[in-house]
Amino acid sequence: MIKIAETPVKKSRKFLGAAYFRSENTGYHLLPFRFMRLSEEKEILVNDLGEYLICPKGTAAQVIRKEVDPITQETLYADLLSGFFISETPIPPLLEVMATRYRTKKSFLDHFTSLHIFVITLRCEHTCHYCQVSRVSEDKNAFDMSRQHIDKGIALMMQSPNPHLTMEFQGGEALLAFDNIVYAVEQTKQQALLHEKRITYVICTNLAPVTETMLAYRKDNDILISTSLDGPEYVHNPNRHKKGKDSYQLALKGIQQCRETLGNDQVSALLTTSNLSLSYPLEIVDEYFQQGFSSIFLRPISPFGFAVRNEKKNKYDTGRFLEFYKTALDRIIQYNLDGHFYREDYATIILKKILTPFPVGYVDLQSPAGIINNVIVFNYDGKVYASDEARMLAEMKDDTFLLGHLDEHGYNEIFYGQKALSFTAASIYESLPGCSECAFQPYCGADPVFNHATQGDIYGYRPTSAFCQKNMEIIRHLFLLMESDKRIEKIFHSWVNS
Amino acid sequence: MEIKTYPTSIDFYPQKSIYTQEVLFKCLYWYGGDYEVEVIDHDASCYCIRFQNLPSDTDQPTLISNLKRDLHDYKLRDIVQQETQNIRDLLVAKAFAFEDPDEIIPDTEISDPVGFDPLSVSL
Ligand code: SF4
Repeated sequence: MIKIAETPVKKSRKFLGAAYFRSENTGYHLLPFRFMRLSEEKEILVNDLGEYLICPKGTAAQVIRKEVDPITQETLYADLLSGFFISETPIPPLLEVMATRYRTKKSFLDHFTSLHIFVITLRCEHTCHYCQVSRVSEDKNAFDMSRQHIDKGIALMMQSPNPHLTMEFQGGEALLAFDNIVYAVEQTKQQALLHEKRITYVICTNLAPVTETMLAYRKDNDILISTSLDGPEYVHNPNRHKKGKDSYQLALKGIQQCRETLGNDQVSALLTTSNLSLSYPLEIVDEYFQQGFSSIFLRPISPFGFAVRNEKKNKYDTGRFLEFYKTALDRIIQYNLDGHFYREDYATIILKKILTPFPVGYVDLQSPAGIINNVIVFNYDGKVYASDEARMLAEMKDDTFLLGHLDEHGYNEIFYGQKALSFTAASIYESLPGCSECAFQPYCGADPVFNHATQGDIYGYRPTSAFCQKNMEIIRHLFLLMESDKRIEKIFHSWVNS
Repeated sequence: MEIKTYPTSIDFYPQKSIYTQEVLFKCLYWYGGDYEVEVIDHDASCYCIRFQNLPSDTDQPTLISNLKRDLHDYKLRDIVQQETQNIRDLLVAKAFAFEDPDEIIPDTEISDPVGFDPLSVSL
């Protein structure tokens, strides 16, 4: 029998519609995500990978009830699939990719502690009213870190598994103990070669005592300068009391000198927001711009600016800070719209978490919390604290976060001891009441020291927490800004990618 | 949901068949900062959520609609949590599983207790 060949069907080379590629089974499965209201009209869905979807109110309910139709709501359905909010199979085919992305988000944990703060002296020639720690004193023996303690601190630092360490000198006014800084840097340089570590050196200083010799040493050793500028003269000087009332002039002169000797990018300035600062958001932003800075860190008020454990007052103060923050941020955005590059650093940290797959190693905004995992403080007297705020608490006679002493304890006792472990459960937002259900979780952090300082409990109580109130509102505000104006979203991308 | 209002208190009676204790407590957690709230095992079918000692300037209608909305949202969150807990556990376990980049890829089929093909793991 002769078989007649069938005419082959000519295959079209045209692109096929989405329906062709969709699996037969149109029912979908939920993947883990959280949601919350952004405004009266919008809500946001966020998953553990930090992916987000802003949609009209009621969408989350529709997704969860499995009512999203893949044909009539094709765009939403595709966004949900590609953003890992739903899956067409019980186990998502890209689970490996999801796991890799989740691991990347937590990769700040890979190397353990990087920032080692050496409180090289408590002596200071300023008497800033918000500073709890400094001493106006000539007594080096009482308030400077001893050479033995410097050596022991360096030895512990070298035991960190992290190949890239930051050694930060703080005070008091660190430059008053410049000879100790030189000693510490020279010792560290030798040890770093032995232990194959890369070290970034930072000196935090008000720049008042800076000299040519100090600048030359800093230049030779690539030491970064972090200074303080609280705004225009009429904000800076009342904030930073000093005999002669010349703190502002000295800071500007020091910044200028540093830039000439070391280069523009080697000096940064930090703003401490005081009650007085809250009345001058625009003036502060303008001052930083006029002084040639391309970024400003509108740091939230530290817990020590708060009436410790007075929840009503803290709520009010946080409300005032948020008003200040939003007004200042608007001004910064306006500079960008006018064609300048000018970045706000707190927003940039959060935006990096929102807009990129990468983690951000910022002590106050991570889970597990940055204390011990990211930062450790060797105090001038040899005591070891879990963070900079922890040593400030100690100055208020509260040693809750004291981990040990350089003379008495070894690496394991300090970093992995009972005390360190006792903070762990309070350091993970995934399991904290309130946070565990919060859609902003991947962009936020856990801060047991703040909780303890303001609420007397390392776990904290979110409904009255100033930390929560501040972060929830700032994160919400950033999303709403991006939603309201695509030009702002573009500006935010430029901050993140700079 | 039955609701009874009084001059300084409001009682809500959510059905046990709809709202679990977990849902109630997760939702009411956020009200604890501003209100005095109590949960009572009312009868076989209902709980009673009692907002008491309300300040005289409390906007009761808004409080009622907010609580209804939040209970609904927490119920939805509970559905997601129930349905996705295994996937979340799997995701975290996979993310932090020890992976030695130098390990040789197995060339035989191995059954993986969590249900994944080990060959598909990109090293
Ligand atoms: S602190 Fe507040 S904003 Fe941050 S994750 Fe927890 S509940 Fe959300």
